[in-house]
Amino acid sequence: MHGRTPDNGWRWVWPALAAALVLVLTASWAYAQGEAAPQVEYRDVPFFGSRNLIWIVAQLHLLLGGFVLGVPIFAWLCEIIGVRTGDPRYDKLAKEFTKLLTSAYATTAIFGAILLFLLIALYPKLMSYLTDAFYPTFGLYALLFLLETATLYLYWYGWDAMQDRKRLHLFLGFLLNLFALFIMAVPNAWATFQASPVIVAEGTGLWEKTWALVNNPTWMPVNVHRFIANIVLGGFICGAYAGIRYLGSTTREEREHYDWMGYIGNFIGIFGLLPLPFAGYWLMREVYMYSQEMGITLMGGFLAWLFIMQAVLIGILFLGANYYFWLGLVHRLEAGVEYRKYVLGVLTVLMLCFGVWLTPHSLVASLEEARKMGGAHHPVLGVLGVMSAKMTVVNIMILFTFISFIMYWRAGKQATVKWAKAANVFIVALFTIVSVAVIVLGVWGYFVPAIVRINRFSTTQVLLVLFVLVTVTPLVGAMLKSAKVTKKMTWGQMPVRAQYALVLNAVTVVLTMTLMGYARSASRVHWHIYGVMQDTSPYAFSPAFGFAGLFMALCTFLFCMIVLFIFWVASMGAHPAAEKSVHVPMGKSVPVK
Amino acid sequence: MPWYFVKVMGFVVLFLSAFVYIARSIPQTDSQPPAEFAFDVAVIKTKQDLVKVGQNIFFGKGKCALCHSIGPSETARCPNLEFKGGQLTRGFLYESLTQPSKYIYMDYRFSPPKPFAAKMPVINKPPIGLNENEILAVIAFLQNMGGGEITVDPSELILPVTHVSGDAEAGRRLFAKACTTCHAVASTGRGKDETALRQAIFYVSAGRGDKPSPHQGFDQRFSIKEANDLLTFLLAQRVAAAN
Repeated sequence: MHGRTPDNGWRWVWPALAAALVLVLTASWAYAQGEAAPQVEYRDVPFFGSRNLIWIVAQLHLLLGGFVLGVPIFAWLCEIIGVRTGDPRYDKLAKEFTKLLTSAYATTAIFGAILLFLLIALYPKLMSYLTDAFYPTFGLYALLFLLETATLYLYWYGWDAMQDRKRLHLFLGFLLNLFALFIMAVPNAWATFQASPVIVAEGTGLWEKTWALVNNPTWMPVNVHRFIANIVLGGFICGAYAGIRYLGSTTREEREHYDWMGYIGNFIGIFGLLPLPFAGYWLMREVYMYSQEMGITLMGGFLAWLFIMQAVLIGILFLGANYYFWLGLVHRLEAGVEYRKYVLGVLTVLMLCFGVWLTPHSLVASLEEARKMGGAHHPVLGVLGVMSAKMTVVNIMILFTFISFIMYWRAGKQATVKWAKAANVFIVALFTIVSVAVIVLGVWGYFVPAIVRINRFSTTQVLLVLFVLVTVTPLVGAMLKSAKVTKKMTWGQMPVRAQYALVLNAVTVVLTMTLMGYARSASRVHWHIYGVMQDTSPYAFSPAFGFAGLFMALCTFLFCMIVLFIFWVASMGAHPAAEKSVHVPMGKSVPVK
Repeated sequence: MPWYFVKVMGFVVLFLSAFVYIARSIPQTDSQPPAEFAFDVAVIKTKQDLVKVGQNIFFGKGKCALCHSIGPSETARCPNLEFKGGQLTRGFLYESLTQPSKYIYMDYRFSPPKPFAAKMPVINKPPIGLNENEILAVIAFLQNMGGGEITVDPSELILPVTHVSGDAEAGRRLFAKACTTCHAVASTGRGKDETALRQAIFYVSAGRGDKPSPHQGFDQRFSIKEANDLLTFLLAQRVAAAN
């Protein structure tokens, strides 16, 4: 009933997982025997290179992992909203995306198995070490997969059967996401251990030792960062899917549906994007605390340009998401043109912040250049490159993106509650006070020791902005609950460029993930396990950004192709939509029913 | 394939191509693993030779310039080192590199002043891991740049030991006789390479403060054979411990 093709994907999950498990257990057993024979440290792949192959497969696995963890969160959130609002469109959207999970899950598992085979074959010494350190977690990982798979079966196949038992179905969705969260956390422990290993005293008990290795300094920040990033990925991929379907839609109903879906995808993407920089800041803080040298390699060493590119991509993402909101205001809303002056103000602030954000602090310079500049920093622009300035502008960008969102949310509605005026004054005052406070703390940050800035000022900036988000959102929600609609919102008449903005957001998120995947790996420089196991292979170097950028773009493109394939496979079982619908040319308005 | 889909794919390819173009246009810097640093002691004849090597380490393997500025800089993360070599003693420089948090500074912007320890990687431990000769070269570079007297003499550099082929059993007996008063076998020499181990045992290390080393006179007390036997034994213990 839910389509015939998804099951085809599942057939591959079990053999792939079973083969991977057998291989891992065999490797563990072989290691435990303490073979005296000299161990092969590396094997190479002719012409292409072992590192390059691992790079692509690992990155695709990670992106697919993000997709299959992000989509259930997205679907579950939509289902909750559907239950709370009674709007059947949310339930339909949630179901449409859950359908993708079956084939996406299988593809992710297959890439995971391929990655494991390649790692064991090409990096046996490293894998022996990691197996010895983490083998107790392998069993947990397999168990989590079993639980996740069973829950996903029930969640997907029980969708229609549990229409009358929605609470049970939502609980299954919760379990699905809970298991998925742990599935993400376990391999995160392996990867973060490579970047921030901990040394455990001899004689420590097995579980105590395992927990110490798992709970390494960057594990929890990476967990939180990836969890939020997965929501962003799920949201923006939904947006891109809706954008492409919108462009191909020929009927009024289709266009309405995919316009609305694009809006929801963009909304959830931004919902995740707003707190994401905070999680990133926490991660970098932990990296600095663990190893100042690693932190500087990332932010001020040979990867400094990479972070400038990251700032550009995040800036594109913020601008793209805001642009879509603004187009929505102008095109969906009756007389929406009057919002243009506000949009211009927000755009100006965002561009100024963007400029500060992408200003580098220090760059790798020759001795002569360093002498001319008086160090590795530019004498003028270097002032804008420090964290105090960057933390300030990123908080302001978040605040103003939130303003865009609130503006869109409130557009065309008039609050009827008695306390509406007081609430409006409070909201404006709160935005003003917090914006000023963030800037004051940012400037003050130049005059205090770094530790004061990091531990007190930056934290206060983050808490202030979070306070605005968590205070204003429910307040506006309460105000609009009984609001009078003054201007009509019409779905399905967004211009073509709005759909391209949705596609751009999704591609930018994926590209940023590939960028940061390289950063995380390259921050270990010539170490497999930082400070513990050195990379002695011919690929111990970290390539320059030009070469790495090619791989990032390639991985992004391949991932897009895989996702398109998954969407295509999932759509094969769908019935042709609305045969009797009226065909409406692109650009014509479609009044909401 | 519908035309709108082709256009979307073209847009994606265009965007990714622009990214690759920019990625290839910016300064290209890769990160090579530190070369097996060829610190050929035999070619170091003068103090200026040592200064040149120190400069290479300062900007290369030591990665000092990532944090420290040479000259005033408002935005540098760590102290300006332009004149430090002329202002600080050699012992203090050595200690700052190898035990950066040992000296507790006072921050007088607070009342009462707050103590704080310098945050710096231990320079003779991974991931940087400079050896004794390299540390001495960096000190010479700093002293030269700071306008002070270069107190490191090329004669202090330790000649590389490429191969130790002593009698481990004889070394064990010697260790039991001469060393166990202070050292346990398991911890002796951990983390030191052959060169550093030889220096730690048989030479009074340079710049470690005023206290006389308990190893003072060891270079005279042991014959070359005995020294090689002892080193062979200690290195064998480390290999066994590592396995």
